[in-house]
Amino acid sequence: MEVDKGKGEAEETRKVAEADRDTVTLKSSDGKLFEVSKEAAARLSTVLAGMIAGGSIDDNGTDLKQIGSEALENVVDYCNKHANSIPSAALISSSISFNTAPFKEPEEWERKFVDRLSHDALFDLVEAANFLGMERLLDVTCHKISEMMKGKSPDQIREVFNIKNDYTKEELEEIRQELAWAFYDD
Amino acid sequence: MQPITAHTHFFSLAFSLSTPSCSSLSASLLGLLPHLHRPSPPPPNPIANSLRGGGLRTRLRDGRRIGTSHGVAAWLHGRGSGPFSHYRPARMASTKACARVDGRVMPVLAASNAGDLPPDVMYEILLRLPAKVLCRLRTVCRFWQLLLSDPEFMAAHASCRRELPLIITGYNCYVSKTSLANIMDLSGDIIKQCHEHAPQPRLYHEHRRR
Repeated sequence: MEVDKGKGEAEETRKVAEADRDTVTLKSSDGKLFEVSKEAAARLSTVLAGMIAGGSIDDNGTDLKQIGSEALENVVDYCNKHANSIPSAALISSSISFNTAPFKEPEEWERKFVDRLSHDALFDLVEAANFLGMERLLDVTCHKISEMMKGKSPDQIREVFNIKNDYTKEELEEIRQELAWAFYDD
Repeated sequence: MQPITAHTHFFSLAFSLSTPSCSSLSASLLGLLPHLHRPSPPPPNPIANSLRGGGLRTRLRDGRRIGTSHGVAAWLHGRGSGPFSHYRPARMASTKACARVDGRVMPVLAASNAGDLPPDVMYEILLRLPAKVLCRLRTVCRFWQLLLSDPEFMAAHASCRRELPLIITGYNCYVSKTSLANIMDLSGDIIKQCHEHAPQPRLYHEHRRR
């Protein structure tokens, strides 16, 4: 009886310790573990916030099977850098007015953060941000990709995004004629 | 300098789609002025819009949020390679996002070659591009052509930018037998001017015959 009681107490203290932990451990698709502050994760990612609130966070590493280690490393890096830079109130108000407000320009450090990424890393990161419901990171990465697209021809765009050209030659010519003005630079 | 005797059409938003003599001109200019190509004025309140089940954007956004938070975010088409490729089998749920309740159907099949990124991410990226670049991108593939000419997309694009409406003024000059169209903003600055030698020959020949 005594032993059982001791066991129960130990269990209880372990639970309390778990609840008090201020980091969450995330596991990438290839099994690497990353730690990120619980507060930042909950603030920046709607999905992680839901998981934390719902108690589905695993101490030995919450499986994120859809995200590779490189992308997850960038996500965690972003969370850590973000942790103290923006008050949560600003973020809340930005998410409410998201549909109507013009897009917010990325801040200097965010710009640098995405600028150093390779093409593939950027694409993986934008998908990870989309998957985790990270509104702000999605904003920043989408902004970067749209900047990349601005000076490119349709052929280059197809190559970058791996899109198949499903127009026939004649159709393409017709559309090009209709939109000829758009192909001239001012 | 002889003063130009000009016959002036002044048509703004309401007339640009309905005046027959201007239809070809307005149709060609719609690309530049996606805001005008709306069947009805945009809903003033995006929240009301989402409650009505309004646009693709809303649906995609909702789809994404619901999808991702339950871990079943899904897209009809998959990635060729990369960390998400094994995720493809689950990519079925939000094909609903492509089906329209108002009778029109979004090109579900056309999405199958729409590239590496999921359509909702692509949508977010495209929303951030200026109108002229978007017009150029219509030649990328059929799916983009349909998406980028969709009034819902245009409304979302316009509402994200808070740009003021533009005005088109058209002139037929009977002295020099040329046609001229100005696209101006509300302060009267001419943003673009199209005339006979502009890269739009078909439009102006058609316009002159009438």
